[in-house]
Amino acid sequence: MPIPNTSGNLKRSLLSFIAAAILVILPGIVAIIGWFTHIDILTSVSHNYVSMKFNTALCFIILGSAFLLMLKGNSLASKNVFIILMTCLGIISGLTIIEQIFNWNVGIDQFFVADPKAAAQGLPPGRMALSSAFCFTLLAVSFLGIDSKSIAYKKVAQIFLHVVTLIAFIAIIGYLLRVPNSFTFVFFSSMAINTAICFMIISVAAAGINYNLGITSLFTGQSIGNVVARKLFPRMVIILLLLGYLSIKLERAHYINDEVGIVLSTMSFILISLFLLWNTLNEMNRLDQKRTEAEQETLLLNKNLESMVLQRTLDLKNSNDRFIKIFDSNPVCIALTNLESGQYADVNDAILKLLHYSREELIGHTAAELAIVSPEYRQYMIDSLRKNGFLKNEEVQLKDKYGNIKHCLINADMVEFSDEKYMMSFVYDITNRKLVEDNLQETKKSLEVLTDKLTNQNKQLLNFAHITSHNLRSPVSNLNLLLHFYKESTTIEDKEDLWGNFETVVHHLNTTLDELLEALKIQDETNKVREELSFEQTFNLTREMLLGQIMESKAVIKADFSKAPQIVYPKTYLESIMLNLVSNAIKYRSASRVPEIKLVTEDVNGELTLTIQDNGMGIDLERHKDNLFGLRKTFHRHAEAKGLGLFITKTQVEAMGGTISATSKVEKGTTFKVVFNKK
Amino acid sequence: MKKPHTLCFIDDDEIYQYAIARSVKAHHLAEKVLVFMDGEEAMWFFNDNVNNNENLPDIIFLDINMPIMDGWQFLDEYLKLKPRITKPITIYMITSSVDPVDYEHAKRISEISDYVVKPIKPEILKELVEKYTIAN
Repeated sequence: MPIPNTSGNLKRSLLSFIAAAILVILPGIVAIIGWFTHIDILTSVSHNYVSMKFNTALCFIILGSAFLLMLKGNSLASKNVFIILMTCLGIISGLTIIEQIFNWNVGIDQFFVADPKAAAQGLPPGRMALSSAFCFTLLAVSFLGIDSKSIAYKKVAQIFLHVVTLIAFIAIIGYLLRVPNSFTFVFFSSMAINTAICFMIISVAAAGINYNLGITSLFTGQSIGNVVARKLFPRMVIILLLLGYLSIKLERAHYINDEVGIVLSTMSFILISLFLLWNTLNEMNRLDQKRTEAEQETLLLNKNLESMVLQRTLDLKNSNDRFIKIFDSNPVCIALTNLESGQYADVNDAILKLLHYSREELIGHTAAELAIVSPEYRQYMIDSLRKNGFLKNEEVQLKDKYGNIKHCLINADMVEFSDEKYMMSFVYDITNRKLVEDNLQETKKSLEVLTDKLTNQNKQLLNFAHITSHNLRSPVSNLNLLLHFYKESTTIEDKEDLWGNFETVVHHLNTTLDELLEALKIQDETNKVREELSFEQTFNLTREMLLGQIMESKAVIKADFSKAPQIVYPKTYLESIMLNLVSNAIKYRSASRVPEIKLVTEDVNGELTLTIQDNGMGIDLERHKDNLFGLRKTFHRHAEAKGLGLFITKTQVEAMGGTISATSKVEKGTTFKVVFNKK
Repeated sequence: MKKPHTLCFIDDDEIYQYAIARSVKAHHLAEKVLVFMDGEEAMWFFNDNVNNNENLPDIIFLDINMPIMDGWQFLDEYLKLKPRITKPITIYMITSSVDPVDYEHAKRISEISDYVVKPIKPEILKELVEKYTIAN
């Protein structure tokens, strides 16, 4: 059901409606008690007043209960009960009206209790007054219409309620002014005073439910007219009642006659109305003043607010401008990409310059789509961002619009704008730095190669100094010694004998010098012409040269050059190396085994190696590892052991930037491994 | 004071051997001279005569640079054998090497009494033998 007023007034309104219902039910109960207990004062307020009939009291109880049901009951059952109650009310009042008009007795008047008093006064005993019956009928009809969906019915119901109020009001005034029980007034005066008050309460309360309809709408509402109506109407009613009461009193006491009374009351009414008007006017002006002040205050507040908003907007714009400046003119490339879609949301000028794209070409597109980075790399970036929350100093290669590679350093952070996650990446172009780095790396590498070469040469020089010390000093000291003896010798035979020894030493010295010169020549020939050589061909040549020894020793030689068939190397060196190693393998064969020699070439990560394995007598490397490749170092009592072959081989291999090493076991065999181009 | 009975020369240089033989003869430095062309040959002899003090030399003149077994390797083998030898034997390192590495090496071995750089003139050989004579 609609409840008047909104918000805070709702509860108060409901409470006053409930109070109205109770104020109607209570007099009814009191009257019924009065009827049963025969206490007249409970049915009529005063001895000479008309009493509230039993049926009237019952009807009020029904009416009040129905009103409560209408307020509180929302279920279908309560609606049905409400309709039944209203129907009962309609039947009782309707029957009473019929009784009153046609002077019949249908037996409802004293159905519950007898009314001897009315019978004594010559009135129909226990019968409800016509006005009361009429009012109940109107109320029954209007109550049924209050909740109706039809606006017209609602309006009619509201008018009926007003009619009830009017009837009750007139009856009350009649009592107040003690209007004589004349024929003309009997319709109103037959209603008991408590009945009239009850009608007044219930009809006003019920009219308040549809407060925006009929006369009620005059007094409800917040507009100035409603305020005036609320203020003026009750005062005017009171004054009029007061004036009427006074003039009637004065006339009855014969202090004044009728005409003077009318003039006096009219005059007083005009004066008091004027006063009331003045009073109301003042109040209204005060209200108006308050409103104007409030308006002005609002206006001022508005103005302040506007200037504040303006200032804030300006501040925001300034900070935005500053940010844009920092963002755009930053030499570091900055890009804001949506984490979900990967689309560029914003980019600065630096990144446009780096990648040669225009802003429009980037924004709304993804780096993967433009092939700036691979989709895998982007996924990797997102994964690390989600895992660590940032990306720090990652080196990455970006492709610009024309496919040029840019070496960049990337830092990224995750940021959130209006609930969307973004990746904020800072990109530094390190292409130039990278170039310099690469150059440096290359320079460093060539320097390293040079250092290696120098170290090698230095080592060879040291080695050479060592050789000179050992191999040249001894013949020279021998010459000195012989010369000493020669000077001291006295006989011709002795001198001749010494001379023979001189020859041996000079010959020895000559050979040693030749060998050293040969070694020096090799070391000097590091830039010897290299050509593409076949291991197979070189091996065949070696075999031809050693044919005699191979046949004599019955050596079995196997060769496998399939893994690395070719080499770019000085021809004479490769021939010399292979000849020396193979002939050594035959020379130092085991007396008890048929020599088996295996040659294998390999290419291990670009390092070309030659391995020559034999099953010969082997060398005690524990003892000889320092001297294995030394000049004039021999390890076997062998007629042909001169200690020259391995020295020359090593010199040749090292001159070309390679290494030679050996593993051996006495009476098992030896393996020489030549790495031609040590990395 | 005792003159050495037997001198031992381990050197692959034939001319050196010839010169030594002349010097020993000329100055009557010893009764007997043993000559070996390399360390291994010498070791064979020492192994064979480890208990035969009469055959063992009093002084060894040891060369460093030799084929098959050089002076250092001989010393290693000799030191292994030494506990079994009862006769005191003086060792001189005689070499054409002026390499400081060799000299330092020789200084660290207490069995080496002296380090002499070739050529060994007869006077130097005489001095070395006399040094032995005085010491004993």
